[in-house]
Amino acid sequence: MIRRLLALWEKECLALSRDVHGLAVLFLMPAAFIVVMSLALSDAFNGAPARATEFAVIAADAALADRLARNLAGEGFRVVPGPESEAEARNGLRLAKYKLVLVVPRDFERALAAPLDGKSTPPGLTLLADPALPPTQLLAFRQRVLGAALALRISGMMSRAGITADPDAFDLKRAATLNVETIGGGGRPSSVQQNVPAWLIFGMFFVVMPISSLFIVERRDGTLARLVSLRVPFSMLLLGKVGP
Amino acid sequence: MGTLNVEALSFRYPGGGDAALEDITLAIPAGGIFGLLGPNGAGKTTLISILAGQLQGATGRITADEEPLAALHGGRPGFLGIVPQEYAFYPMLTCAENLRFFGGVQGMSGARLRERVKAAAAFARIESVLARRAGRLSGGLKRRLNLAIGLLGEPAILLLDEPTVGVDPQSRAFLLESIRSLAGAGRTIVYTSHYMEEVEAICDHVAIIDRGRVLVSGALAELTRDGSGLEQLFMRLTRGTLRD
Repeated sequence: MIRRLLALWEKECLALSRDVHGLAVLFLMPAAFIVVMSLALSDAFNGAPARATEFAVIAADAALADRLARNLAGEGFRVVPGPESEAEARNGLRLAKYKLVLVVPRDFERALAAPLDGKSTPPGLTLLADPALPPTQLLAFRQRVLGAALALRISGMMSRAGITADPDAFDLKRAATLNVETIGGGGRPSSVQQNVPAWLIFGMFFVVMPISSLFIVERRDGTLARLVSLRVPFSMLLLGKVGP
Repeated sequence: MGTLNVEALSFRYPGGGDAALEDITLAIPAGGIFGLLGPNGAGKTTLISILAGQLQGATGRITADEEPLAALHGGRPGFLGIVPQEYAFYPMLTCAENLRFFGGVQGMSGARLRERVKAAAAFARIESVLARRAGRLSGGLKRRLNLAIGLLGEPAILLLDEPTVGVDPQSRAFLLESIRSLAGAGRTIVYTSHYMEEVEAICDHVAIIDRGRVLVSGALAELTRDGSGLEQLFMRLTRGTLRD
């Protein structure tokens, strides 16, 4: 039994070693796939984005734009010089020149000073975003913008109350030092771990295909019938091809 | 080994219309060469395939020495050898590797395998090309390799399905002489061919089958006692009509 199986394995290895195209399909293509997929997904799975997302702020008041930009920058977001107008910003987004552009309307700061009760509508801001931006990044930036707006509102309220405070004191990033600890589990999977199931399916595809074609060729050539006449069971024939 | 008996053998291909074999009864004596003749589609290869255990689902009985052939064959893979119409070997492997592989799947190894490979190669006179890839051999050498593989297990029953198709006269003469020398020593040989002169030259007994039925069977000398040749008998029995 083992002797017969060894003979089948030896034959497959010899045949494979002389079939350049078969070798390429079996080894080079999956290897190339693994390398490409690992590189493509390494950024997504290494915990933090390799490049900070660029954003710009457009505001009539340059000082306000600068202050907002300072509050919003950092931890994955980087400010870049903004466009001159909202129209230019929209065009820039279409051309993938910007990822995020925050448009601050005129008199925004004054609108923030208005008392906010249950009936009034909060002053509006417009965030123009690249549709290819990951939703988690968009959400994070949105929260950061709302935090910056709240900081402006509080800063204004304190100023009107005659309390002097450093405007940057209300920067969300400086509110507290937040340590994040992940408990339990194996942590975030690496790009390799994340893709193992896909590779298995891919591998099966590359194993099943050559095996099927081997059976077709052997059937056409008559070698399969000859092996059957030598009482080689089908399970052994299959194992003889899967093994190597 | 004694006579190989085929009794009331019938076979229908799955999904096929008419029976490929219908109530075939033959007594194939040991020690000689039994010619199996018939036009294209008569059922010769189907009968050979059933005898070799390649096709399952036939009704009837096949026995050798009063034992079911399947049991004898199952107990010893090399009990029955087949030399099919196709070049049933691996073109990517050398002749020696092919011989070693087909010996290996019959359970041979070590000195026994080496001895059988050497003997089969010597018999088929392919020793000088043992290191050459089988796919690069001439038609005549491929036929000889096909024959050598069939002889590896020293089969008690040897099935030869048109073993001289597509070879030059020299190779044909060599193959016929070799096959003739295999008869005797209790070996049963079944030989199919479309060449009547070949059958007349080497066979002791013949059967002519057509449309899955035996038209005539017996000793060649008796069947041609009236002086008519085998071809005349064949054309008369098969009515000389063109087959699809």
